[in-house]
Amino acid sequence: MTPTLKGRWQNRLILGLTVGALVALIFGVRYGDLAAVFGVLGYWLLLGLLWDVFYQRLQRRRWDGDWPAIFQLATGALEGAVLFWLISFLAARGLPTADGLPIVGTGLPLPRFVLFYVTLWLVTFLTMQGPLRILFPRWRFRGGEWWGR
Amino acid sequence: MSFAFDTIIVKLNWADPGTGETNEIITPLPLTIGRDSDNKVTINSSLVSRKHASIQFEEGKIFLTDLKSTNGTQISGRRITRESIWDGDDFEIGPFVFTLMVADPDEYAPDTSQIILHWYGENGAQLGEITSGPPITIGRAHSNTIALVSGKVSREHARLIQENGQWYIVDNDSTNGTFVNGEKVTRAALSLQAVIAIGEFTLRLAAPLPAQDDASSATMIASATMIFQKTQLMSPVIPIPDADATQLFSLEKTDTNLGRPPGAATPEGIPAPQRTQFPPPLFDQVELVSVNTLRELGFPLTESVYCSVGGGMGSFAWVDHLRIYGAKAEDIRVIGVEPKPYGRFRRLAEQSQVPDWERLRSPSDACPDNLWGLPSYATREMGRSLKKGQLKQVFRIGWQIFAEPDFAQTYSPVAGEVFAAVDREAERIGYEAMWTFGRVRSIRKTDDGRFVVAYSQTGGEEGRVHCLHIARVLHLAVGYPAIRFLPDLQAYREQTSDFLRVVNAFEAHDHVYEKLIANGGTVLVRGRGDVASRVIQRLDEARKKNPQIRILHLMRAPVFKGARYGRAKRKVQNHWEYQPFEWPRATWGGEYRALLMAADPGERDRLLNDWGGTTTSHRPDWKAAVNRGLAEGWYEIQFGHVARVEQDAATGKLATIIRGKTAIQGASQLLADYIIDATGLEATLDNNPLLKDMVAHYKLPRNVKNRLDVDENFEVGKMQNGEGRLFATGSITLGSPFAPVDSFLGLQYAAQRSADRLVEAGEPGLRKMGMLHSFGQWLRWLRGVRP
Repeated sequence: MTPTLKGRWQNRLILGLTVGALVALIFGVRYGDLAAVFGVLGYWLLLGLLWDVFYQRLQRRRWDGDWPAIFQLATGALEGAVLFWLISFLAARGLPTADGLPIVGTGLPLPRFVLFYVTLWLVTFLTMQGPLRILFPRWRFRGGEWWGR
Repeated sequence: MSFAFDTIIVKLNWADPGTGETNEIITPLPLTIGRDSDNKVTINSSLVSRKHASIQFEEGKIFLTDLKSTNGTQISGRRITRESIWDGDDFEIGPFVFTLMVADPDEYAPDTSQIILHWYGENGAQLGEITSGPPITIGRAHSNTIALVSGKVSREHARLIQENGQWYIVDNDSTNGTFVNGEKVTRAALSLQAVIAIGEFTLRLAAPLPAQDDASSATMIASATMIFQKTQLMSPVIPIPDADATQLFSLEKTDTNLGRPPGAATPEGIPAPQRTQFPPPLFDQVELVSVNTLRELGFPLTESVYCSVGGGMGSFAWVDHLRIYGAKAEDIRVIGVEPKPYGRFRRLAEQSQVPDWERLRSPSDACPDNLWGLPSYATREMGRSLKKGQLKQVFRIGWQIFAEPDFAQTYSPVAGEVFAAVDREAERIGYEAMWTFGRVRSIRKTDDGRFVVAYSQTGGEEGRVHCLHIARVLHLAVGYPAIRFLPDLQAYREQTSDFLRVVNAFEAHDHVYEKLIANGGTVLVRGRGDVASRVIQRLDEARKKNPQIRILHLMRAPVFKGARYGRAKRKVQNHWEYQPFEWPRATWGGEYRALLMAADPGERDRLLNDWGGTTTSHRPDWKAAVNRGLAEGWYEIQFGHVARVEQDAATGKLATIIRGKTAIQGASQLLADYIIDATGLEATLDNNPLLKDMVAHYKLPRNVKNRLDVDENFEVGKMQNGEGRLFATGSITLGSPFAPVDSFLGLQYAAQRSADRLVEAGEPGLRKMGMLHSFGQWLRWLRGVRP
């Protein structure tokens, strides 16, 4: 599947709010901090919408206009690192509120963040590689868009 | 027509980057090249400016001038502003490589026998037009070729004659005289710029149009040289042999068959009408064929709801979708010559050096046997390797699909595995029962909102059984009608009947490798696509058995820069352009697909030219072979334009005579023991008698690439007949809203779109492919039970 920008956005939002939310629920309960986990998910979604624009511009520089799975892994790692840094950096400076970012606050400790984030990424990645293709046979031809021509 | 006094006639040819077909224009200079349609040579690409370059003849020299274009005009990769060029020279504009040749006026003399004459009244209104050979008489009397009724015109006023290919006007002592360009003349040579005045009338000349005879005939090549007329050159073609032909003829006879002049017998030839009444004459007489009349004709007649014509991979993908969407096997008919859907594909692959155990050039998730592309071929291969305990192989393939194409070679499936998978799926959907042997001759609309397919059951003259089949939903997937052959090689074969030393990569040509292994020798390879690379790879293998094999690779022109689109560039190495598949990957499902679908025809042409071009896949083993060959000297790349191929008198070898000064490195001829033409397959509509007939009969529109125009659902809108619909897929539709039409995944995409279109139109036998239906069907596929 070679994503279009709409495809990237739709998959991020839809998968984030379905299977992503499920993963967050499980981790939130286990960590005993639903707000922080859902906060991470929320920021991941919001920031991701911007990341996707950047990825798509990069993708246009590639002759085949494609996006190999290894790029998905790399961008996933990058996003995770930036997200963690952002949350902890702002929280350490008491920005934007004294407790850091709204909802997520000072976020999760690194090991917990990594465990949750890696699971989130893996589950969305695998959903796109398998179940989505079976349930929506047009999805792969539409650049990952759920609706469209 | 001779213009020696003021200009020079040149022949300019270039390949269409989208289709690979050659275009040619023969014209006097000057000429301009650009994107706007008022250029004599109009080319479409985002790298071409509106007025890009011009060619003039000045003081005995030809000059190529860049008209301050954005992306420049290049000669061998060097940007120029104004440069003198001559016969045989190349220059590049965006993705187009042009070759200029000085045309020999004598060569074209026969084609000047016809001329078009327009005449206009006093007010400038056109009164008439005529295409005629000499003599053309002009006068008041109605017996003249052109009758100009006026008191100022004599009864027999003047005549146009031709001497040595040159047209003259001769005044017949008329009362009021004949004027050319404002001067009174008694006899004057005419150029195309000439303005003739007789009485109050003005006459102008124009170039004759191409002869509208059988476009696939060899004579077309000669007549394609008509002056001032931009044409698409028809490459000489040979029919693709099918299973039926090889059964009927011995190998030797098949070879002779292949070499016969194209047009002498058409590939899927419409039978000569004088010998047989099939297809029934009725087909040409009425718009809608009456089903009742058809029933009375006495031919065996069958009916079904759906019918796919072709019986290849395109047909298979289509019926596979129909079955999974809910159609019953007994409602579907497939008419073709090969019992196996991959029959023809496999033979062409095998002959072009992709035997069953080699890998195709197709992505992992392009599975003609599975519409979800899941499990992909890579996953399946990993599973098989795991069972065999080949862990290394499992990781290798896993890494490939994870990191391709940047950090690993792009995965492609082994040909034989694809065929085996298709066999399993064919069994599952009951393909064998749907398939009928037949060569389809003609298709017509019926008076009850369906279509009738006229087909014959054997190819021989005797014992031919003619049949009719009526279906409401028709699908055309006829594939490539013919093998493309370079004109000079075809000419050599026709003259010498030497089919053993000059071969096409798509013909059976194993004897070449066998002889080379036995005796050594030099092979000349033409073409630079994936097939050429496979041939060279095979030759590299042969060298392991006999190092006395040399490869001369003749290319038309060097490639320094890869294609460019937006900010993206295609990779080039050793004058080969690299790309994993036939088209950039995003044309299947990414942004490029969406762009092309939204584009208007002009834009579509531009995009296809930008993304197209001959490429080969990035296979390290093959690249290593080329680099080794170049270093060790047994693989040599030459550039040049072939004037002709002949047998060298001294050595008896094949001499390829290079035209003009592009015979670089001092070689004006290349000697070889064998020549392999790897330039490709032909997909022009006119090479397919069935399509040609249908397009002509229903005046179907052609798309920007001169092929069958289909909409985004692959439907031929103009063929709609009440509830009856006609879809077409495959190479014959290139130039429509989808680029990679000729690929496994493209065929699946087409099948999906047309099945969805049918559901939307309320087709009773089909169900909407929703989430649950899709999931249920996928489980059935997994369990191997009927859909």
